[in-house]
Amino acid sequence: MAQDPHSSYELTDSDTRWIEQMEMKIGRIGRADGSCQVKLGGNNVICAVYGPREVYPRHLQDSLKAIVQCKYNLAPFSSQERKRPGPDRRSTEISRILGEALEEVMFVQRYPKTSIDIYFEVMEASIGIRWLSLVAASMALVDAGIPIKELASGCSVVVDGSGPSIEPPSELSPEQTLVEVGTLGDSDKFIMFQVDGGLSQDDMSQTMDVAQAGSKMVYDMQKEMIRGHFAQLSESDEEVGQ
Amino acid sequence: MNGSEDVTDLVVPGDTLGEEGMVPGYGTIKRGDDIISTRIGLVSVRGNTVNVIPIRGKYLPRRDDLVIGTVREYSNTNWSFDLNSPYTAFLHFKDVPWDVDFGETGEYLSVGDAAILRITDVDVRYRTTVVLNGPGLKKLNGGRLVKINPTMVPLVIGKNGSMISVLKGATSCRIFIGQNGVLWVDGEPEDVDLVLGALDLIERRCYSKQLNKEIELYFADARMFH
Repeated sequence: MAQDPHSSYELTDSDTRWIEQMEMKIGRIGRADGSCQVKLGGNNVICAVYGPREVYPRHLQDSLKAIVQCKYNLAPFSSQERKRPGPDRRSTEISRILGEALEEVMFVQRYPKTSIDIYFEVMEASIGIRWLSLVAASMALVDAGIPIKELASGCSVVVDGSGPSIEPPSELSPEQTLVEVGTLGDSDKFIMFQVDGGLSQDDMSQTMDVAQAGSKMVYDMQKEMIRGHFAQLSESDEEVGQ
Repeated sequence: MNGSEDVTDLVVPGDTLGEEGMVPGYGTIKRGDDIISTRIGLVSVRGNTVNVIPIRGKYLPRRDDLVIGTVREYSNTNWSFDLNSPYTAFLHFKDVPWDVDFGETGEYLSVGDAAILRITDVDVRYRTTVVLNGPGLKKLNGGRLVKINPTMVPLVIGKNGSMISVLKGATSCRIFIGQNGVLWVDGEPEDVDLVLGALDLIERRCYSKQLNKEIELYFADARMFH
């Protein structure tokens, strides 16, 4: 899916303020090859990447590429209502969507016969958890040293009668539509697109513009965060050295 | 990383590198007219080629690499080795310095035994073959095996082997570095601990341009307290 790279939408102050609240922390899980935690609003997701590693069971292995195995898990305490532990239809669907989106980001052909395992643990779930999971995973992939085409970025947009907005309400009303997108860096390529609710054709192009502008800002923050993380590592060590 | 090439900034995937007329090297791709980084690492320019030296990642077997492997399992005619990589390596019972009879492989190398091996063949699916008969190749007895990030191996060796000379000179340990990020360190227990501390410091201070000096200081400090 392609969109005009020169998005016509300019983020408002409230959009910018909302996105700026996003917290990203790399290397949260010591045992994982790469990990990242992302928080925004009522969302809190931690992602761990293991691999490339040998595939078990062996019959799953693909001799031409690495397989991407995603497991998305909502903690029982993640939402207002207790979520029954274990996999369900929703988490199976989101695991598959995220896996397919992330496969598009990686050079899976470089690691034949292996598996890249990506685990998502959602501590708090609210509106827009899917794109945040995608952002967390792409940063965990960088931490794991897996080559990628671009960082996966994303944004969510809520559309109602007054037009699209990036900052979501605390709860979606039946008249509102939630659109979650994942983009390949700041390019015009979408790797994930999910709509909850109805969307007219006119609203669609405007929503895409808004989502793309939001994604661009998130992408810049991701890059800054990664650079900052590694620079911070070297600075803190400098103090230890002294 | 302390090689003869010009090593500069830290880059993240998606960063545009180099100038016009340059050629994409390791860790990069060409997109349109731009050279794009695909990994987190340090930019290295050698001639007109732009490379990214990764600071994270797994070891992928390459032909002629000297590696340290540990035996995972064996059959009547071969051993399979763990190379600290997603791929397993195979050693045929005729490619060893001993005269091994059919079915007697376990008597020479058993599960968990380590050896210095040379990779002789890697196919497109990373099916890897190693040998144990050749100069410098041997079964390892005693000592300690240490795993480091494989991307740090060039740093531990240093420019023209300068770093490894510092490690060996300061501790009188016997050290062998496998290209797969597995090190074998043999010596007095206190010396081995010192080397492990130095390896940890190298991994954490990989960005430093005066790494050799820092490691020398580390050993000087350590000696003062012993």
